[in-house]
Amino acid sequence: MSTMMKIENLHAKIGDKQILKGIDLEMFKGKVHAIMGPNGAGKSTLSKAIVGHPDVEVTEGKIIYKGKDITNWEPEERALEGIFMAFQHPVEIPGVNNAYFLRTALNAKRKHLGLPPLNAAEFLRLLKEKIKELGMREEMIHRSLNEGFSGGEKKLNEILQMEILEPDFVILDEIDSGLDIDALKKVSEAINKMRTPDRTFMIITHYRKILDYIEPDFVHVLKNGKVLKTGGIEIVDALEKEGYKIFEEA
Amino acid sequence: MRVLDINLEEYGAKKALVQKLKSMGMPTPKTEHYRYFGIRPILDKEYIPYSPPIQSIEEADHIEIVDGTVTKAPKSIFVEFLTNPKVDDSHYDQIYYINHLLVDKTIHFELEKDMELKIVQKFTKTGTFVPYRIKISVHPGINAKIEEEFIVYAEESLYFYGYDIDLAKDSVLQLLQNRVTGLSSFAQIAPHSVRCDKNSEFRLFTFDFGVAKTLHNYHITLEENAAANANHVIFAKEEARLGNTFHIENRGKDSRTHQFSRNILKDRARGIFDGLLIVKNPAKYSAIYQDSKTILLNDGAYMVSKPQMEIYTEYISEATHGSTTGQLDEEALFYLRQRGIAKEQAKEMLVLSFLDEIFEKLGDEKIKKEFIELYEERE
Repeated sequence: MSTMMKIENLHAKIGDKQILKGIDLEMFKGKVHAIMGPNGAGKSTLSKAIVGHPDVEVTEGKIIYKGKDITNWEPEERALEGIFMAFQHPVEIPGVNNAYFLRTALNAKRKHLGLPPLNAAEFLRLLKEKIKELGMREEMIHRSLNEGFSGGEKKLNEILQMEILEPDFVILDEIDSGLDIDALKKVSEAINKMRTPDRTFMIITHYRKILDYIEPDFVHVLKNGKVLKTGGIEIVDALEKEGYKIFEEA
Repeated sequence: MRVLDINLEEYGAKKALVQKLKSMGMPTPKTEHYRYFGIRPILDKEYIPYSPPIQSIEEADHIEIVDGTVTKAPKSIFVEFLTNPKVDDSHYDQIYYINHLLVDKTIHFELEKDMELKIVQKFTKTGTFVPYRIKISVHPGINAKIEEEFIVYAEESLYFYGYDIDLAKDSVLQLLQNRVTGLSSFAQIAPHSVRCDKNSEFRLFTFDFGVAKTLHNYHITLEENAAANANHVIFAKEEARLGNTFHIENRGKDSRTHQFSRNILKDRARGIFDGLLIVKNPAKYSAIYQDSKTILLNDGAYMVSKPQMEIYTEYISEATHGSTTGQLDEEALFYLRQRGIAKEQAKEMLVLSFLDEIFEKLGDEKIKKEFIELYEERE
């Protein structure tokens, strides 16, 4: 197995609160890593630290991605290198057209890769194809970014962005929250289609259901800002029966 | 000369104006609509006085006014020069009366048929004080659009100018004022008066982009079923002070005022939006709406936002006003950056989205492009 990301002794805080207290985690190319843990364990802070959210201050340790130390990189540099986060609560941006935003993002990435930009017609063709595959309404591409979208539509829009941008490392931050069973199936199917030997998924979730649809290769349990346990799907079974208390720190 | 040294006794022929001015007093830093503008240094300064001459007018597809002199005009526009134009006797700005006092010949345009007209104003005199006025009469039932554009070369100068606009019954006038001022030492005070007769509509779009010191003071009156739709964008940088103040009076029943202001301020710039909407007692079933939002791009920038309402009738259909001032939404900025969009470009997208409502209403891509160029140029 080839390493995609290695997190070493990561300590991070938000404001004055120390949340991550020494995370060690290795994630591999082509694998799906599920991150589970009780509320306040540090799951979202970990994902924010990986994408370079300005609220998170890394105080110790490092994040190695594709062999490079990205701990202090700007968020857009990480994104251009292939790190993508599907947000738990995607922001609404009135006045920024969905298609325009996505073309800007795609062309930024193409420029980074030394590729020519897609013109409006080329991009629209690609976008319509993806929209059709995802079963989204076409009018959504001409609306303002996430404005007035239902919870399910927002999550699908995140998946649409992922499909267009074709990232190498995908964080799905509670992508299952607020989705009904049909929407969850649709989102999961889209994610499964994106699974390739070169792409890594990090799925943050509280629930087993999504892991029935997207089978993880590894499950990591976080608590109090540390990884307590790493294993396979059997961890989820144990959690369902006993709760997080079975993985208390020794 | 200093503007404050004007001797009112020399203007005996304009007795009513002198009386009005004496009763109001000269503007001071404590005068409400000048409180945040910094008027004293502007009025205290020595300028070379200049009275715009009248000259022959060259035929063109637009009107050109150079330092207060009409130099070009389309043949279809009736242009004349008025010695004693009718003056708004209830304007709140002293400089409105000073401006009229100092002007011998008011430029007058008659709009007698539906039309789209461009007025290019050039300001070229350095170290000079230039007063002039423009009157526009829109005939009954006429639907007209005027686009005003500024070209500013005048350094260390002060310009007083303003429109006296009469909208006759059932007429519509859209006035787009595109005021780009690229010189920090350019100062302008422009009191405007707009009278909207029954069933008329005044659509105002003002775009103040730049680094100068300009203040536009609008007194607008609305008779029965008349409407004022006023939309304003200020993008101020460096040490600029750009502002608009308003007294909009709903005088007739069923009259309507909708006002939107969107402001982006950077560096140590100051923006002013000071709007008073008044509903007079006879103006039953009127609707007034006022909304001002500002984004400060850094800590040194400062916005004075004063949406105000005075309502003297019990019967009103709508009265809403609000004002917010804040920074760019950090979560939205991060969201865009997480998709690989560079920070500065992401900021620009958010700024444009903030102004989008007004650009959409205007439906003019040219102004939007100008804004983007200016934003990028000085960013």
